[in-house]
Amino acid sequence: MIYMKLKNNILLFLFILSMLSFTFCNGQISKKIERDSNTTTIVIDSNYNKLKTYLLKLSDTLHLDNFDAIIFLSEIGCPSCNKNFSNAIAKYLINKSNVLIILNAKGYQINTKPFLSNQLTNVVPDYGNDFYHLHLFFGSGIILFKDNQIEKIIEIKLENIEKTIHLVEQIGNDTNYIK
Amino acid sequence: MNLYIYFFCFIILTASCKTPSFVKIKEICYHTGTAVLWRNSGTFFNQANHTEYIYFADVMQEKKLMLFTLNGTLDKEISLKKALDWHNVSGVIVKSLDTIIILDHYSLNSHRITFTDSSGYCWRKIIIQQTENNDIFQYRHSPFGNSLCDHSLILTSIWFKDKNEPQADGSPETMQPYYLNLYKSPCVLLFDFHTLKHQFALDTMWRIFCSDTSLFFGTNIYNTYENNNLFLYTNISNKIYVTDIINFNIKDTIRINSKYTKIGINPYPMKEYEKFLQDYLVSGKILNILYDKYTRLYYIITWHEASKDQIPFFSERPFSIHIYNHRFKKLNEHYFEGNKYDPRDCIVTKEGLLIKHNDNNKSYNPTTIKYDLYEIKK
Repeated sequence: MIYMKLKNNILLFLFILSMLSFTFCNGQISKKIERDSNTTTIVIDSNYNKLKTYLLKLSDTLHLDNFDAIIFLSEIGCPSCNKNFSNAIAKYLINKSNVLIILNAKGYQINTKPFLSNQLTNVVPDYGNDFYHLHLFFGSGIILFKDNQIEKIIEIKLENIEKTIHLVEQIGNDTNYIK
Repeated sequence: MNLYIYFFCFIILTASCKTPSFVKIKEICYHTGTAVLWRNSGTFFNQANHTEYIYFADVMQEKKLMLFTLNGTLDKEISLKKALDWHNVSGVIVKSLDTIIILDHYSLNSHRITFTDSSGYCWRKIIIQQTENNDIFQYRHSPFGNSLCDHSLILTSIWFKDKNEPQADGSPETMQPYYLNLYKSPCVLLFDFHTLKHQFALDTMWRIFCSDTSLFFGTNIYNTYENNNLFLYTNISNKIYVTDIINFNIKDTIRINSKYTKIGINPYPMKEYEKFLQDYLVSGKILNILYDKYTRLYYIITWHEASKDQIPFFSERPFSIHIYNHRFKKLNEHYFEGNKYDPRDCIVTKEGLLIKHNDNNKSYNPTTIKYDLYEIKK
C-alpha cells in the first residue's frame, strides 16, 4: 500500500517535472524562434517585400526577383559623391539586365542625360519621394540581393564613395564582387 | 449729425482699402530640356526691345543660357561653354545681354565672378581668394545666398580661424570657442568688382540677434539685397533687420508673425548645439525676401514648422508669403499648402509672381519647368 502510494507520488512528481521541463523547454524554443525571427528573417523579409511592392507601384513589369542589385540615384546628400556615383553608373551599369537603376535625380547637380534615353532597358524614373518612405537609406545608394533577400544596403557617403565606385565597376564587369 | 458723417466716411475709406492678396492666373511651361536650379534663373528686362524675359541657365548639360518670353516662348540661346570651365556654379545673373554674370566657387575660400557677352565670350574674370581681416583672421564665404548690387557682390562671411591658431577639429571643446569667435566677427563681405577691394561689415550683427554669449544660435546670418536695402535674418528669430550697404546702419526692423506657424528656433546653451541643428530641420523659418517693383510690395516667404516625428522634405512643407508695403507695413499673409510648390523658386515679373511647381512628384517632366502665375489683387 505504502509502496503503491510512493509509486503514485513518484509518477506524479515525474509527470509534473516532465510537464515543467516541457513547458520550460518549449518556452525557450518559442522565444528562440521569436528572437531569431525578429532580428533576422522578419526584418529582411519585410524590407524585401516593401521594396517588391514599391517596384510594382513604379511599374507592373518590375519584379524584384529579376535583379541582383538596385541603384538609387538622387541629388540628396554629398553633391560631389552623387556626381562621381552617377558617372560610374552611366559608364558601367547602363543596360545591365540584372541591375535596376532608379532615377530620382532631376539634373540640378548631376548630368542626367545618359539616363533619359528611350533606348535604355534598366532605368526607371521615380521623381517622387516614395522610396524614402521605405526608410532604407537617405540620398543615393545600392541595394544588393542574394537568394531573394536583401544582402547589403550601401548608402553613398564621402567615406565610402571610392569603394562604392569600385563596386559599381565590378558589378558592371560581372566579376565576383565582394559584397 | 457730424458723427454720422464721420462714421460714414470711415466705412467708405475702410471699404476702399482692400488688402492685397494673390490670385492664381495660369500655369506657364518653359521647355528648357533640363532642370534648372533657382539660383540659375531669374528675370531680365531688355532695354532694346522693352521686353521682359525669364532666363534659365543650364549649367550641367548643354551649358547654355535660355531666354524665354513670359508666356513660355524660347527667344534666344547663349552658349556658356567658355564661361563654365571651372567648378561649382553658385548663381547666374543676367544684367543685360552683354553682362551675364556667373558666380562659381572652387571651395569656401575661392570664388570667381565671370562676365560673359551675348556671343559667349568671357570679357572679364575675377577670382576672390582667401580674404583676411586685419591680417589676423581668416574667413570663408558661403557660395550660396549671396546678393549682387550695382557693382558689388555681397558674400555671406563665416569666421574661419585665427591665422596663427590651429583649426577647430569639430570636438565640443574646440567648437565652443570657435562659435564665440564667430559671434564677434563680421557676417558680410562686400566685394567691389570695379575697384577689386573688399570690405568686411556687420560684426555686431550676431549679438543683435542674440545678446546672450552663452547660447548657440546657428552658423549663418543670411542676407538678401532688394530695392537698395540689405535684409539680414537668421534661423533663430522672426526678425529681419534692414540696412544700407554704405554705412551698414540698421534703418528698420521687420517682425514676421504668422497666423499658421512659429518662426525661429530657440537658442540652446553652447554645449547642446547639436539639439539646435536637429530643430533646424523642422523649424519655421524665413526663406527669402523679394521686392516687386511693379506693385511696390515686398514678399517675405516663410516655411512653416513641421513635426519632428516625420521630418518632411522641404517641398512637402506648407509655406506663407507675407505681403508688406514699401514702408514694411504688413498687409496680408497668403497660405500655400505643402507638396504643391517649391517656394525657393519664386520670380517676380511684371505680370505677377511665378511660383515653381514641386518637382517631387510622379508626373514630373525632366524637360519642362512649370510655374503658376499669381497676380496681386488689391
